[in-house]
Amino acid sequence: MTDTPDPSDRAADDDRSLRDLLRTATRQDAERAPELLAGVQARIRKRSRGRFYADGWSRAATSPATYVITTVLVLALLAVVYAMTVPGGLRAP
Amino acid sequence: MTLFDDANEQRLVERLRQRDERAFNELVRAYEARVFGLVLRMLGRRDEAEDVAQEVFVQVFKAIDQFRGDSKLSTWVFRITVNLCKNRTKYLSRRHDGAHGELDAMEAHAPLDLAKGSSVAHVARPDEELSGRQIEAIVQRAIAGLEPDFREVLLLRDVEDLSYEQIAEITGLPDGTVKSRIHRARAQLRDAVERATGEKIA
Repeated sequence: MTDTPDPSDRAADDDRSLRDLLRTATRQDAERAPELLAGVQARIRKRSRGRFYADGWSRAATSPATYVITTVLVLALLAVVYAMTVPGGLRAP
Repeated sequence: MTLFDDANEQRLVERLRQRDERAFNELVRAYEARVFGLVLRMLGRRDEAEDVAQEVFVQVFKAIDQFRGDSKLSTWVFRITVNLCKNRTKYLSRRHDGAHGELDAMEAHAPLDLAKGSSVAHVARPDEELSGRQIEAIVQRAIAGLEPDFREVLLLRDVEDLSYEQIAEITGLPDGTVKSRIHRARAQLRDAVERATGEKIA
């Protein structure tokens, strides 16, 4: 039994220290990554002459379902308001 | 870098081939931080990195039909990233435009152990924080000073945590060459950091 570290272990430790240093030094910049999607979409739209990403739906961050649900809810709300405020409600001529 | 399991990745690739814009949005969101990080480290310049990272995804969109599925999608995306970085590096060097002003301003001697403040429990004092940032600048400067061929394999291995096989696929180099370049890159980086700080990395 000996206290002398194996040279290969020491080399592995050195590599680990260097890797830790490298990761620590490069971590922050990557964490501050900008959002690229809008710029990428704009480039593709321009180069495809509007064939791709030409409409608002495909570029939107939210799902089209959100817009559909919102539209249905607003229409339902308008119908309820109409029924409550107009005499005779929806049956009025 | 495995962001999708095999089945999900296959479905995503199918949708990408059909030019499904929503699938492409998913791809960009999934990979943008990793791609931008690699580009930034390879070029060492934030102003160029955003432009190149966006171009990576444009190329992915254009060339998705050429992706045969022999490798992981992530490996293919990284191959495009590395190739575009090489092209941009050549272009910038032709223009003699190696600006590293931000790093020059920060570079000064500072003890190495301050840069390893990755422990969550460790809260840096303001003077320690500055020294930590100086070390970061020294390391970034040392990375930028590596030969591009060495820098790319070192970053892919030690920062992106890719296997030797993946790196060989991305760079088109034999495994043995990848390993020897990584070994030499580490030695060069260690030497540069130790010279700049006056301390041994341990």
